[in-house]
Amino acid sequence: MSAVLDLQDVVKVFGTRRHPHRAVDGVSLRVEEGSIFGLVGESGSGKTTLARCALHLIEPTSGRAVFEGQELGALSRGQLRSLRSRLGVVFQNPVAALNPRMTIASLVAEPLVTHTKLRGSELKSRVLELLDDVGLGSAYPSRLPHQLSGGQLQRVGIARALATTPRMLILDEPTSALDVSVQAQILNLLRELRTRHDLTYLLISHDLDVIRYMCDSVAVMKQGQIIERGDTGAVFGNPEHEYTRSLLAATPGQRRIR
Amino acid sequence: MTYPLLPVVPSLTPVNERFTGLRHLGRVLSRDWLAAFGLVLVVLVLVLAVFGKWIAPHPEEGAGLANIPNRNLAPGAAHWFGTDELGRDVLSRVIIGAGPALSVALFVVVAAATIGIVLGAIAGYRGGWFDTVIMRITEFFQSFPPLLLAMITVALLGAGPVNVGIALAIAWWPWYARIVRAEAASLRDRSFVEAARAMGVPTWRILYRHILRNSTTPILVQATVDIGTVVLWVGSLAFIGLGAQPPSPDWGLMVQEGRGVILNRWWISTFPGLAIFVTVLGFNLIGDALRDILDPRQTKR
Amino acid sequence: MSALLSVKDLRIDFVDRGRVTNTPVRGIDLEVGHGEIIGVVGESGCGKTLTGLAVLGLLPGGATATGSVLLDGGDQLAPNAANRRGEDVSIVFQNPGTAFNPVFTIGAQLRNVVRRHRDFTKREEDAHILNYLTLVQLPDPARAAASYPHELSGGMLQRAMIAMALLCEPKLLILDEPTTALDVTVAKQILELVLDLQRQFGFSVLLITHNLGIVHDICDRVAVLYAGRVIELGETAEVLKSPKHPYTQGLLDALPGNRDPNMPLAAIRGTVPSNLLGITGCAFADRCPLVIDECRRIDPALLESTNGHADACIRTVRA
Ligand SMILES: Nc1ncnc2c1ncn2[C@@H]1O[C@H](COP(=O)(O)OP(=O)(O)O)[C@@H](O)[C@H]1O
Ligand SMILES: Nc1ncnc2c1ncn2[C@@H]1O[C@H](COP(=O)(O)OP(=O)(O)O)[C@@H](O)[C@H]1O
Ligand SMILES: [Mg+2]
Ligand SMILES: [Mg+2]
Repeated sequence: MSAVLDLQDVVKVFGTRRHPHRAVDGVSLRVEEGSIFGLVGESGSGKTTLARCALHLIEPTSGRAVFEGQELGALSRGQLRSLRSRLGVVFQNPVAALNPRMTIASLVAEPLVTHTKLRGSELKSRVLELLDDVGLGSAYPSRLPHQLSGGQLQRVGIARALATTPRMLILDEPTSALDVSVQAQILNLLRELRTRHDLTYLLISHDLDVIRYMCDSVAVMKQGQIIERGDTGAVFGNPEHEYTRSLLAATPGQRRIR
Repeated sequence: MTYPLLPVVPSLTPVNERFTGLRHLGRVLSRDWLAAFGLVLVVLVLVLAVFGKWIAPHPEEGAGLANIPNRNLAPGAAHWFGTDELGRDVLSRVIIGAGPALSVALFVVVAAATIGIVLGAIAGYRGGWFDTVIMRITEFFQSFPPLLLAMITVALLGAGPVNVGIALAIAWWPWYARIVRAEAASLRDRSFVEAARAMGVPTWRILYRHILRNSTTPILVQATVDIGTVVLWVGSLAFIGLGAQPPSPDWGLMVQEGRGVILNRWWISTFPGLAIFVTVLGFNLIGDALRDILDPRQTKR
Repeated sequence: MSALLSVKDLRIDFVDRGRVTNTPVRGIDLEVGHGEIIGVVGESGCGKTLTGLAVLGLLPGGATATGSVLLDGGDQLAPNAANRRGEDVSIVFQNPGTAFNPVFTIGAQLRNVVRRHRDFTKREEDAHILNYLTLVQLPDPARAAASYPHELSGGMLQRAMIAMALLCEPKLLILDEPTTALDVTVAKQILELVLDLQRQFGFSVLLITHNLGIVHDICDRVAVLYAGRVIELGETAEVLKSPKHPYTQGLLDALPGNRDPNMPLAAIRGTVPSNLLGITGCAFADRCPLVIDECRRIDPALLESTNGHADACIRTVRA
């Protein structure tokens, strides 16, 4: 098996020279082709920052992000741009991640206009096809984001990420802003899409149940570092690190405490 | 089990407010009589600017043709605004003057806004050295009184309406640059802009679709108010001899021409002065109303 | 023993210029006993917060309530109910970061509450405030009192919020998603603290949450809300083990915890209706996997079938 995404000793320092803050502190991880890799940790542990480094939305202070064998930091702007068609991302907050002034159709069309030659009616039918792919009917293309529910907006976010037939998606807390009932719909959709389109996922979440259900392997992040990693079953069944154990113990719904 | 966080609803106005905007306009106008009054004034000035030639009772006098036998008539039934020292109908001069006044103002605002939007958007979005340089330049320009800056420019380029337009545009763009830069800088870190970058959307497209399209309100409001203000500046430059030259029907020039005899023949200066005042007031009121219509967040306060 | 809180046929309408624009709460019946912890669950938009606010006597502008909300015999829907707020009932909100005023210290904001309800000297006030900040196990209570909200972490702020809610020894504490904005480990500590204080003081708790895991862990009874109505009510263990209403069943099935990773989750299709005006029949009918024709016509009442376990599904009515 080969790694689609390979992060090597990634460090990201924020703040000033006098007060540096190592948001990501030397993280290495490999996401194998076709797998779902889970990244779990409490808020502020550096998960989103790591994802942004992996996408080269911010430049890592040091370390390398390698996607499909290409080091992102070494690519030209044009190469990086075309690479983005094969590495998609879905953000945590679907309301904030969609331009409130664009219709659903133009939001989904945006990556297509950027990366393909599709225009006019071809573009339109591809947009409809994508919306259909994520379970949104034909009633939505002309609507604006504020006319859709959170779950529907997240479907739009996923449709955009899929538009350019990527090889891998980075999913940053894709269901954290949603109700459990809607979360279940989105998780099911993500699993279906993975089979249908042969996708690899890096799934970020603070929810151990979501990670356990979705992922093949998992890394636990704390204060910018990965403190434990392995097969999901092994890590959750037999956690080695004290912190992992405390996370597992704190997940509600296991034991009555009253 | 999950701990969903409630989605943060962005505070931007969705685009369909444009449609409710029309209905909203009606409501604003019926509730806010000042806005309605402003609209009446602006429409009046616009109609005069476009159809002045056909409305003015003596269009050729308005354009500058002397009519010596009629000199210095006080306002009356034949000449509502009286006549000036060359016997020209002041009403016609004021009406014919609306066209050039508004064309210069429009030119200035469009030119200044274009320069300001382009530089401001890039500066705010890119940040870094480009931002610093542009902001230093705008500060340099803004540290001059705009009239002085325009005067210097006109002095360098030579008098005349076109040069006045260029001079005022040069004095004006920094304000637009700063407005747009502030908007761009606050939108830059918004999640939907990052999403666009993550998809590889080209920078110019991000600037247009995601930055500019979300900062139209302050630009539009500023531009509307500025049309009135520029009319005032154009008049001021003409008044001190740096703008239009006789016999052009320029409001500022006309005020200047009647200045010496203001005590005896007040109408020669007063009516063109009023024309400037009405234009400034009208566009200001409309600017305020636009802010309310396009930005419901502020209306609700 | 009669119930501490008794909500009967509570309806909340939003009215704009004389016209009812939405009825997000449509006839809620609920009783909370002395010393009981009751959970109120449902998806967002089901009317949980509005119900809590009605019990507090603090409805948002434009909302009017009908029915009755009796707290220890006092009418919470009466205009003077606000006077009793803090004394008999108080609330802890979801987001501790915005629930405090950023420009005053924690101590000053707690003092405001004490002043409104108690006739203490300044020294007594100080002692009282410090006492409660200690009770909620803040590591350095004096320093917390002198801090501004932004100087404390989310978990510490939520502790301070709980201290503020308890200052005047309420009989009922409403917790509206108290841990939703917190990390799991912090959330667990907060819930343990609430249980601890409840054992000490014996107040009742109305816990609003969308998290069935939390309900499982600490609630005696649970009321499941859907579209502004209680559709299932009963002992927590009983309801979670053998849910009767398809909505409750759906919420439980949607949870990813302990599911077979090779099987899809049983998601409830569709979403909560955003406006309940003019709904006929069961509001869940459109999403229900077991829907029958009658569901569209009849909106079943909450009916008790077995001991204390009630639900509002037509199949139960007919059984
Ligand atoms: N743009 C930024 N500038 C400064 N600090 C940041 C920035 N983004 C994130 N951080 C800090 O980095 C840490 C990790 O944040 P983040 O990656 O968002 O964590 P997570 O996604 O795990 O919740 C936090 O302490 C946060 O305050
Ligand atoms: N201030 C308000 N104005 C108008 N409608 C409101 C207001 N507050 C709540 N609602 C409506 O009431 C419904 C229930 O809201 P809420 O009680 O906050 O739900 P929950 O707490 O269960 O998420 C929502 O669908 C919302 O549309
Ligand atoms: Mg994050
Ligand atoms: Mg709520």
